[in-house]
Amino acid sequence: MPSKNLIPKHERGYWRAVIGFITPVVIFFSIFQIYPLLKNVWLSFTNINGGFSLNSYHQVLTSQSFWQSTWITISFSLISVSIEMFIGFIFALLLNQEFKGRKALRTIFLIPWALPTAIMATGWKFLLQHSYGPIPWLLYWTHLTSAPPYFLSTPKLAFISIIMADAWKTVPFCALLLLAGLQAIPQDLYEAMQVDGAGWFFQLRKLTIPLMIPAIVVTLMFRFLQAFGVFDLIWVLTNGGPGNATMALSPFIYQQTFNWLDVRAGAATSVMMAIYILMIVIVVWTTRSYIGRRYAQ
Amino acid sequence: MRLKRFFLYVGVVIMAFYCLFPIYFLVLDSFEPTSVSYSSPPILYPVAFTISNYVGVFKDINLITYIKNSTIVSLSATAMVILIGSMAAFAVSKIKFKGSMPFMNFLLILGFFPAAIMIFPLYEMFAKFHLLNNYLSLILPYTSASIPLTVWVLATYFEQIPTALYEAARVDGMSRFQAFYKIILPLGIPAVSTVAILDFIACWNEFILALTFMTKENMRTITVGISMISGRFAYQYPWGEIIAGALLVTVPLVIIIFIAQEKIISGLTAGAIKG
Amino acid sequence: MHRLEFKDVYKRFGEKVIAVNNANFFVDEGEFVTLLGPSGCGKTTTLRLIAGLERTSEGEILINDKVVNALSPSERDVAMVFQSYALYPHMNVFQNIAIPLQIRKMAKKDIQMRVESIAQMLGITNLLDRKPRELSGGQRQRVAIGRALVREPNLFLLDEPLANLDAILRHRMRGELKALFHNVHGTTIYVTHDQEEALAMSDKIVVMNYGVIQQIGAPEEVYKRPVNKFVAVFVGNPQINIIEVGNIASLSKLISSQKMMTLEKLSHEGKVEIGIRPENITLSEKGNVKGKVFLIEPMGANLLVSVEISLNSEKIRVKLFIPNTFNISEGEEVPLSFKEEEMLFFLNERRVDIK
Repeated sequence: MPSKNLIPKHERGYWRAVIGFITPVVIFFSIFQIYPLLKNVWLSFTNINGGFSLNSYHQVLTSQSFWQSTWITISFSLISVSIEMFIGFIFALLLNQEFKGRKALRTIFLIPWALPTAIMATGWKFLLQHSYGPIPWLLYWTHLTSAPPYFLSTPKLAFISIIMADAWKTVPFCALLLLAGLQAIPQDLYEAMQVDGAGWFFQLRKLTIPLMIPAIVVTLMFRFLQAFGVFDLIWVLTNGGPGNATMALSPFIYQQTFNWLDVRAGAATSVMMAIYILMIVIVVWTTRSYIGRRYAQ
Repeated sequence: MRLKRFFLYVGVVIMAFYCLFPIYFLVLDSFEPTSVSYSSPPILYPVAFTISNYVGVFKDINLITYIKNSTIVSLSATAMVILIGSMAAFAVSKIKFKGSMPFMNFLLILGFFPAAIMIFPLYEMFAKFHLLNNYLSLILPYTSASIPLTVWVLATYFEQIPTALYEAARVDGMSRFQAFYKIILPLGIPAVSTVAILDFIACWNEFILALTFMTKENMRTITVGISMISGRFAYQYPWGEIIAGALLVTVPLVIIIFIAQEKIISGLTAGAIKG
Repeated sequence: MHRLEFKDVYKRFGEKVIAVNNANFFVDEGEFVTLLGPSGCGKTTTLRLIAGLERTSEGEILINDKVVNALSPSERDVAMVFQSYALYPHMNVFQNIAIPLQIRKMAKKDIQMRVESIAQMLGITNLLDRKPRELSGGQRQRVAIGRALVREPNLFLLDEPLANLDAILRHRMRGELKALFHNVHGTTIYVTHDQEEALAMSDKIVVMNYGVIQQIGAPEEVYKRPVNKFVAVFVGNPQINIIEVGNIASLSKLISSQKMMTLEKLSHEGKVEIGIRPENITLSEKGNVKGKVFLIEPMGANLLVSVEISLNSEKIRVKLFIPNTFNISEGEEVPLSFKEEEMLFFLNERRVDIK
C-alpha cells in the first residue's frame, strides 16, 4: 500500500491537513466505538459504590450460563462457517462454469445476503413452526423424519435451526466471494493440466484448491468473526431458547443488560467477548502472514 | 462430456432451488387467508387466493412509518459516512501520512467487535442526552459502524487514481481540500456509489441498535417493526400479514440488487481480496 | 509412429468467423513442422485443435492414423508448451516438470530420475527447488519445455515459445530447441509469426493467412518458390520487392523479350506483378539499369539500399541488399543488375512460371 510520500512533510500545513481530513472519522469512532468499550471495562471493574471490584467477573466467570453461551457461540460459529464454506465452495465451482442463466443465478444468489436478517428470521420462524410450517411437514412427508419435528421448541433442533437459517443466508454470499477467487486463476493453467493428462478431480486437488487457499482463508476469517457476533437471527428466531439452548454471547449480553438489568454483569461479559475476539484476531493475523508467505504467487 | 453437462445443470437447479424455496413458501402464504396459513398440516400448493394480507398489513402494521424511519436513518447515515469516510480515505491514500497502515488496520479491528458489546454504554449515553427515540440515536452509531468498510474500499480505489492528477491540481494552486473534492472525489464516483449501496443495505438491515434505542412504535425501523409484532395480537399472529409486510419490504431491496449487482459483487470481492 | 493428419478441417466461431478454413496437411514421424503466419491467421487455433482444447466444426484430425476428434486433451497424449508457459505457481520447478509423470502414476524413484535427467539436458538442475516467480523468462521457458519433454508423447506442440524472450536469447534458443526436439526424435509442431524462426528451424513450413493454408513446403521451397504473393512477401527478410508496372514495355531492360511477350498476354487477364528479393539485385558496372540512391540503411555486415530507377516513363523503387564493402552514398547514381532467373512473376497475386 502507501509507499511514496506525496506531500513533503516539511510543507506548511501538512499535519494540519492530515488532521483535518482524519478528524471527523476519529471523532465518530472514538465516541461510538472506543468510548463504549472503555466504559464497559470501567463498569466491569467497579461496583455500585464506584469502588474497584472484581465481583462482576467473579459472577460471570463462575456462572454456568456464561460458559454455556461461550460454548454455543463457538460451536455455532465453527459449524456454520464450515458448512457455508464447504457448500459455498461447491456452489462456486458450479457457478464458475458457463451455462445459460448464469448471470440470473448470480443475481439470485445476492438475495439471501441482502435481506435483513431479522426479517428473514421472521420468515423462518413461520417456515419451521411445528403445526403449520412447511418444512417440518415436508420432512415428515418425505419420510426423512418419523413425525414433523418441533424445531423451535426442542433445544437440539433449535440450534440446528439457527445454523440452517444462517447457512441459507450466507452460503450464497460465500459462494460469490469464493467465485471471485476462482476466477482469478488463469485459464491456461487448467489447459496445461488437461494436456498433461489430468482429469477433473486431479485438477481440483492439485490446482484449484491450492491456488484458492488464500481466498478461502480470508473468507473463513471474516465469516467466523461475523458469526461470532450473531444477534439478530437468534433474537428473532428463538430468543435464545428453548431454555438457553441458543443463547449465544450477544443475545446473552442483551439479556443480562436489558432483561435482568444486571448492567455490570453485562459489561463483564462484553469485555470477555471482546477478549475472545482479540484472541481470534491475533490468530487470524499470524495465520494470514504465514499463508501469505507460503502461497504467494 | 455430456454427462458432465448434465450434472452441471442438476447442480444449477439445486442452487436455484436452495435460494428460492423459502421464498416460494413465504410468497404462497402471503396470498393465503390467515385460516389457510394456520391449517395443520400445511397446504403446500396454492389454494385460496387473497390479497387481504397485503391490504391488511398497512392497517394493522405501521408499515409506512417503519419504512419512513428506516429510509431516513439509512440515507442519513450513508450520506454522512461517505462524506467523512472519503475524507479519511483521501488522507490515507493520497497524502499517505505516517501511520496510514496502522490506522487502517485499527479501523479494521474495530469493525470486528459486534454491536452487542457497545450497546449498553451507548444506551446510557443517549438516555442522558435525551436522544432515545430520536433519529440521531441510530444515525450516529450507524455512521460510525460503517466507517471501516467505507474507508477501506475508498482508500483502495483512490490508491489507483494516478497521483499525477493530484500533484497537478496542487501545482495549479488548489488547496488540499479543493483537490480532494474537485479531482479525486469525482474520479472516485464508481467506488463511492458501490460502497454507498453496501452501507445503505447494512444500515437498513441493522437490528440490535434499532431494537434498543427506538422503543416507541412510531419510531421503529422496518427490521424491528416486522419482527416484533407480538404483544398486540391476542391469540393469533397474523402470519399472512407479517409475511406480506416482510415481502413488501424485500421487493424494493431485490430491485436495488438487480440494478446494482455488478457493483455490489465487485465491492464485496474487492473488500475480501484486499482484506 | 507419431504422425498427425488434418483432413478437411474447419473451425468456426459463431456464424461469421472461420478461424481454420479447409485445412489439409500431414506431419510425418520425427518432422519439425512450423505453422507460420501473421496474428489471427489461425495457427494457434490449429494448434489448439490438435491438442483438443478446441473442437473441430468439420473434418477429421488423425494422430497415428486414429481419428481423435472425440478425445479430450488428456486422452490424446500430446505435450504442449504454452506461450505464457503456464507454469503452476504454487509448485516448484521439480514438481512442475514431474506433474505429467505423477498423473500417470509413475513410481517416485522413476520420476526423480527422469526429471533430473531432463533438468540436466536443459541446464536447470540448480533451479529444481525454486518457484516459477523466482525465475527469469528464459528459465521459465526451459521449465515449460522440460514439462513437455519429460513425457514421450505422440506429438510436441509449441505455441510461440520464443515470443516472450529478448532478441539475443531468441536467436540462441532457435538452435537449441531444434536440437532438443531432434534428439528426442519428437514429432514437433511449432507455431510462430516470425518467418526467420520458421526458416531456420523447420523441416516443413505451413504458411497460413486468414485461416487458409497458403503453402506447405520445405523452407527453401517456400522461400524460392512461393505459391502466391502473400507468401513471397511474408517470408524473407528483408522483404521482397514487388514491382507493378502499367506498361509492360518499360521492363525491357530487366527481362528478356520472350518473357515480355508472355507478360503482355497475361496482363489482359489481370494484374501482373514482379517480385525480386533484395539480395538478387546487385551493383554491377555491366548493369544496364541506372538508379539513384535515396536511402541507405546499415544492417550490420550488409546495407539495405533504397534506389529509384526510371524505366521509360515509369519510376519504380526497389531495395537492394548488398555487403557493406560497397562504398556508396545517398544521391549517387549507381548501375544495377537484376538477376532475371530469380525473378518471380505474379498474376492476380498467384505465382506463374514463365519461360
